[in-house]
Parts: sequence; structure tokens; C-alpha cells
Amino acid sequence: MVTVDKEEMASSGLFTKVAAAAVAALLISPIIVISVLSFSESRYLMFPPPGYSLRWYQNLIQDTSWRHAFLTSIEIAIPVMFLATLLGTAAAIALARSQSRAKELLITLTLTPMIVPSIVTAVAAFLWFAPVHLVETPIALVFSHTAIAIPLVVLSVSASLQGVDQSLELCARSLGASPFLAFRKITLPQIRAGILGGGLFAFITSFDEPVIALFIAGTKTVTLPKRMWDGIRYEIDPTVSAVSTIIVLFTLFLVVLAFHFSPRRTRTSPPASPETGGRQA
Amino acid sequence: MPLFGIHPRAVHRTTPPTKSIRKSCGNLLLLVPALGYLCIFFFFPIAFLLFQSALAPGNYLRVLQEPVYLEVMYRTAKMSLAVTIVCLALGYPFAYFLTTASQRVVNLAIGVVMMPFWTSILVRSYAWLVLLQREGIINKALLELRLIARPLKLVYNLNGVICGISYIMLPYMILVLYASMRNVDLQLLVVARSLGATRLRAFYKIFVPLTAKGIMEGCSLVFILSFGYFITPALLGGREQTTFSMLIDIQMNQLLDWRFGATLSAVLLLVIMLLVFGVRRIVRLERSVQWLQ
Repeated sequence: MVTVDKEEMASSGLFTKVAAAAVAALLISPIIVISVLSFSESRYLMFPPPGYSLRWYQNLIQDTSWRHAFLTSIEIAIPVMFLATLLGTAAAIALARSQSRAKELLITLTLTPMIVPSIVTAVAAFLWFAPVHLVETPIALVFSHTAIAIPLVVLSVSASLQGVDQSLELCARSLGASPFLAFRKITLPQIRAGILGGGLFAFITSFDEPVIALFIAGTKTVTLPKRMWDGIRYEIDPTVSAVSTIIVLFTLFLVVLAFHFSPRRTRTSPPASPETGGRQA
Repeated sequence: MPLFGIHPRAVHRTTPPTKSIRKSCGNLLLLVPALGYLCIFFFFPIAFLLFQSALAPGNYLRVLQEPVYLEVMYRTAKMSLAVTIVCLALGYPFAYFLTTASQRVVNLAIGVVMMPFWTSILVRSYAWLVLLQREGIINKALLELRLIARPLKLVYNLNGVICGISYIMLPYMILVLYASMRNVDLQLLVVARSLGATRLRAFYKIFVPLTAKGIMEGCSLVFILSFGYFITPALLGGREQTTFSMLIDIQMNQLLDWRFGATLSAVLLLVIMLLVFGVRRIVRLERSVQWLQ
């Protein structure tokens, strides 16, 4: 008879552990390498750097085109965040509570922007905004980015609605609260985390979005991804590694913030898999 | 199984029937702003694009007749397939490791997956550009180990594109696989081994078949997303690696032939939609973007 230790059997073997460690290293090392290189003193991207300096950061601060691009991206991402959060939250609540037969179809429609290649979305947006002279304006970018950010908010808010008992809100209603008051006092506090998380994801989506920006931003509304694209495509400008490092830290901060707000799960339930979005390029 | 993170029946049970009908109508009103918005800024533009391309039906013939378009389409498909295989080969062991690891390790590992996932696509492509270039870290390491005599050309070719896109797609694959593996009862492996199966045999005979659906889901998602990809192949590929989306960019931004650009976009959209509906029998793609829950 074979006797095997139960613990040992359920755990993974050495091969799996080594493979997993290698994949983890692969996932994280490019980001670390780029951060280290941003402090290089050489204009060639050698690793390890021959010496360390802040010259690329200095370059970044002195070059106004980068500062403008950063501010433009922020200016676009903030309205996107509010608009997408408002529309997405309402949609998530509607979908969670609907028992309509069309529900499946409605969910598919709401999530479609995640599956359509962003280049197609970008061309469509360009052709749509060109006749009304909105191409090269920040407004066009806000409109288009909001469309691709709505699904992310819907997913995040839906996740937090999962644990909400709707009967509590009905109780409040039966005790005389108006629908809005019942929602504000009972349901909203329970899904606040999902809403805040969704809003931050919407912000990041817009802030990092390269393809639509490339097609409809033109030369007048240069966002940070568009500026980076120019800096990578035509010459390898080491300033990009300094920008990259700042973006990584900025995004990391926002994501940590988003997960901090995101719905927490109990220990017995499967480990929290974060609300992630389908970002494309 | 919870649909879209919502348990329809759980809601139903707690709601009195008469009220539920009235409420369900009232609740769907909340969907109107979002759907209306998506219509104006997403569905109508796409419909307009299809309309524009239909105004010049000759363009569709051009796509079929000039060999370059179908060739590029075929090449894009091959490239996406390669990316899918790389992601599966790297993602499967990692996701399997997650199912067996302790809670603390899982949280850390998920963090390692999410970190690149939420990093800007441009930053990630740029990082690979730096890693793979002539004087890059990989060439340097290989030279120092005396494995090669001269630096290899690793970027602006197929290798660069596959590395770059796989790196971007890997988190998707891992998350989808992990979501499906979490539902597998690991006790089955214990049983198989106590009946005399080796670790490897138990893994291939029990675990892999039980995750077949997750594999299909992950592969479909990665293939479809890679197929429409633009940024990474444009930055890391050479002329030989022109993808279909890059042809669209060339028409729109260099040749300024918007009408033909619209036709090519319509073709790409149709191919993607065919793929989505093609795998629909096996996997519901819009549900696997909810691996999430």
C-alpha cells in the first residue's frame, strides 16, 4: 500500500515552484530594470548603468512638452473618472437588480468596449468626431475614454454589490424612507469601496490610454502616452525611462489605493482576485 | 455559478414578487444613461464606420484581391497563436502554483501579476525594447557567459514582438487560469496519488482535464486580444512583423486614406466578432473578462 503524506501531496512540486519563481521574476524584472536605468548617467541604456545621476529627471522637468503632456492627461482623466463612475455605478446597480430576460444581452452590450480592438474604437471615434470638428480636442478624448472606462466601473461595482442584501433597503423603504434615501443610507455605504475602486481604475485607464490618443489627439492635445510614443518611436530617448519610473510609481500608488477601497473578502472565501480591466492597445 | 458576480436567485428570493416586477422596470431605468452614452460614443461611431466602409464596396474587393492584406492577416494570426502558446506555457505552472500555495504567498503572487498588469502598456513595451536591444541586458549577459560571440538581434523582429506581447498578455492568462483552477478540488489529486498514481500522472490525468475549460478561455482571450494589438508590435516589430492593426494605422495616419482605413477597421472588427462568436459555443468571452470575480 502506498502511503503518502497528505500535506505533501496537495502542495506543488519543486518543478512548479521553480517555474513559478521564474515567471514571477519575468513579470517583475522589466519594471525594475527600467526604474534602475532611469538613474543612469549614460545616454545609452546600458545595464548595469556605468554611473548614477538624476540627469534624465532634470531633463524631464526642464522640457516643457513633458509637463504639458502630463497635465493634459490629468485634465482628461479626471472628468473621465467622474463620468464613468456615475454612469457605470448606475448601470451596475440596474444589472444587479434586474430580472429581465434581456439581462444577459445587456451585460454583453455594456462590456463590449473591452473586446473591440482599441484601434477600431480609435478609427471609429476619429470618423465620428471629424465632421463635428472635435478631433484634436480634449473633449473628444474625454468622451471616448469614458466609453472604454464604463465597463471597468461596472465590473468593480458589481463585485461589491455581490454581498449586498437588497432586503435591507426594502426594509428601509417599508419604514417610510424614500427610494433615494434608502439607497443612500443602506446600499451606498456597502458599495462605496467598489465605486471608489472603479473610479480609480477609470482614471488609470484614461491616463494610460495610448491608441485613441494617437488617433484623435493630433498635435494639439498631446497626452502623456502620446508624448511617450513620440519619444520611443522616433528615437530612444532615455528621458522616457524617467517618465516610466514616475508613471509606475504613480500607478502603483493609485492601484494600492484602489485595492484598499476594493471589497474585502472573508478568509474562508477564495482569495480576493482583484477587479481588473481589459486594457488593450 | 454566480453570473457576473451577481447571484440572480439570491436577489430574487428576498424580494416579494409583486414588488420585484415594478422594481425591475424601475431599476432598468438606471441602465439607460450608461447604455445611451455607449450608443452615442461607442456603438454609433462603430456603426458609422461600417456605414462609411460600405459606401465604397470596391475597397472590400481590394482587401480580398491584393495579396498583402490576407497575407498580413495570416501573419497576425500566426503571431497571436505563438503568443498564446507562450502565455499558456508560462501561465499554467504559475496558476497551478497559486492554487497550492498558502494565502500569504498567493496575495504576494497576485501582487506580482497585477503590478505589470496595471503598468502603462507603453512603459512595458519600452522596457522590453531596452532589455532586448543590442547593448541590452540580455545580450550582455549572453556575451559575458560566452554563449554567443556577437550580440544577437533580438528586437525589431519576430522575437521582439512575441516577447513584448506575451509579457502584456501573461497576466490575463494567469488570472483566467487561476479563476478556473480555484474550483478544482485538490483532494482528487490526493486520492489519485493514494491509489498509486505518480505526482505527474495525477496531474495530467486529473488536474489538466478539469481545467480544460479554463485553458480554452484563457487561450481564446489572449488570442483575440493579441489579434487586434497595435502598440507593442508597432514598437518592437520590424517591417516583416506588420500586423493588421498597423496597416490601419498606415492608412489613417500616413496615407490619409480614411475611407480605406475604415474598410480595414471594419474587416478587423468582423474577424474579431467572428472569433468571439466562434468560441461562443465553448466559452463566453464576456464572462471570462469577469475572471475577476
